[in-house]
Amino acid sequence: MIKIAVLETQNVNKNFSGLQALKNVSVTLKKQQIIGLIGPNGSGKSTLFNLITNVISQDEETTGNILFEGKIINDQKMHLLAREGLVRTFQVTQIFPKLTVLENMLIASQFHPGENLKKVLVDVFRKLLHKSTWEEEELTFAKKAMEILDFLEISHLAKEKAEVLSGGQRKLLALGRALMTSGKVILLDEPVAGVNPVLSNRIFEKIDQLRKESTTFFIVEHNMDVIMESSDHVFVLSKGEIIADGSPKEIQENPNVLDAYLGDEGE
Amino acid sequence: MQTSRLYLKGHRILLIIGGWFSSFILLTFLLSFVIPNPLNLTLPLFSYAGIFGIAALSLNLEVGVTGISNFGKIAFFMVGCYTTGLMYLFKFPIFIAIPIGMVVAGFFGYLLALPTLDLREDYLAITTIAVGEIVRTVLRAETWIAWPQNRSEAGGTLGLTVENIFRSNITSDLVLGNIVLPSTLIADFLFLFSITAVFLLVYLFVEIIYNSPFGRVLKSIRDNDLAAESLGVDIVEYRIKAFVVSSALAGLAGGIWALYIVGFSPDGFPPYYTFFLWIIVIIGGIGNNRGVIFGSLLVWSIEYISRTLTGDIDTLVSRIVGILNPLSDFYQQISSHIPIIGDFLLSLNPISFFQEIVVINPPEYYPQFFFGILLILFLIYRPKGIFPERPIQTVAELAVSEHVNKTDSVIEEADGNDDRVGR
Repeated sequence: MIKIAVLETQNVNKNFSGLQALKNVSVTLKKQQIIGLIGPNGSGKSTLFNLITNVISQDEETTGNILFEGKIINDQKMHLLAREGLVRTFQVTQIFPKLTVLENMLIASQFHPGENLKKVLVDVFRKLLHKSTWEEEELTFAKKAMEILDFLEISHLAKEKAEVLSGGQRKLLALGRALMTSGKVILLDEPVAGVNPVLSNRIFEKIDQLRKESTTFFIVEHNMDVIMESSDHVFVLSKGEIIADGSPKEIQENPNVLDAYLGDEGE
Repeated sequence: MQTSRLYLKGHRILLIIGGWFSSFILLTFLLSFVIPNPLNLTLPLFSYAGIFGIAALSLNLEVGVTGISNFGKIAFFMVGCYTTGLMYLFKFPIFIAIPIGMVVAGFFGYLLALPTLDLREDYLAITTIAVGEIVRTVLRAETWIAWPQNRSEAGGTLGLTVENIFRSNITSDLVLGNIVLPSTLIADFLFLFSITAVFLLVYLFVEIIYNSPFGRVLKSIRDNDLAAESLGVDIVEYRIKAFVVSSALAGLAGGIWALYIVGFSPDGFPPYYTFFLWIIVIIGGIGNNRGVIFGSLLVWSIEYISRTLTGDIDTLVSRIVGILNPLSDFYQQISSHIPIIGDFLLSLNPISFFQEIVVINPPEYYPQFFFGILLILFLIYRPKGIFPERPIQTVAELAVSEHVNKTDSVIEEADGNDDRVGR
């Protein structure tokens, strides 16, 4: 079966005032795959994510292309990308501290009619006439959110403010929000860092299950066991360059990869 | 499940109406022991509190909910005030004049929002302060905007003069047996009722916004705009919407102010009023609309009562100074006996320093001293305000309670023989 590329970068570059963070990086993500992205600290993994979602922009002189479902998305705003189905999490967990856990999840619901001011005001009168309002969708979204929270084992915290969560729970919440968006491609930046091994295995099982449904995952992770076990394809970044890519097995046997990880110690 | 109660919280509205009017009666009663005619004080006090409450609710929508630190609120208030005043003078009925004022203020907010809402919080604050000052200066400098005074020389400093529609329409006194209710009193009462009604409508409006997914998105932008954007929220669009709605509400407050205060000029809108609104929001509770109502009442009570009692403060000050004078003489005698550094100590006399502070500063600044101290105390000990922010309430809560029931029944099934089944 030939799988089509949903997300593709072609020779993207990023230079932070002299430091070449990414150099001609080209990656291809095929539909319904789990793609791992590994590399030592500072190799440019998060920068690649930031470039794809346009948190930072590419170098002006040497602009490569980023394609999402065959369309060039070089300068597309992050929120539009999310609406189209390209969602990400951040390495430093970004939560809404003063909102409850459930509210955090509900922000991620896409195309919620109640998020439209006009609809909210019109529905006050519709409510008085006992007609349907945004509350129906709200309830549907909330149920879905509770299911995801249940799976991530934080549903008992649904009514707590997110600021009380521990580091690991925040990671889970950010992951839950990404799952809530039902995106086509989800970029996860260290989704299980600080999460206990049992739960992290279960999360990857869930990711595997969602992948079979239709989602593509692009995952940065330092936990080699997990990533090697669950990915279909792995890219290895080192000093801003892709030094290897292939199936997990190929990567494990690739001497370049070992050098990249252990090279500094050997010298 | 009563879902409708989550939309229009009737019982809470009744609570607020009850609180508002009972505090009116209580304050009038208490003041009747201090001053001869307490209604002369409480009627304007509650009217001011109501009008500023509307403006404070709109500021809360910006600051407390969306996280836009607007320090130029008075500009929108002023725009609404002037537009409504001019429309009134052009013989528009007030039911058209006030909405026009709201629309113009909202449009002004939109114009300001377009270039500035990309700015970081502190830069936005600086810009909005500047805008507030610019509007005031422009209105003062423009000669055409004085009405109906002779405007050739003084220009905008004369401001506008409209009329109090209640007072000009109600001219006959009401006689009930022996009691004669003067027409001005009835007019003022009716005006207070109207202001309260509008205030409550605005409160309902902001509560509906607050307790909706729209309000939730605004709060998410305040909390973490990067995360909100990564989940598909167009933060600029939402911030502009919140800013425009809030500006229009400030315009509404300004329009009522124009009709209430009758004569106004640019110098009647000092930047102090912006900070006044901020004090109301911070003390009442950032992000809590009920807190804002309470804060408005509290802050205006302090301001207005102390402003009215300033006549007595003059005598009070002279009495304090009279008590302190012997102490000051004593200090001078002691320091004159100390060699070498005696002169220096004399110049440091703390009592005469205190006297100078009391004498130099006019009594109208005393509430500002007090607000300064109050603000610092609140920011240190209770930064969330008297009424802390509460989570928004939508039907999503039903999903949680349903979920809890489900898991509970699972637990019950699992340990059916257990004694703890009763939970």
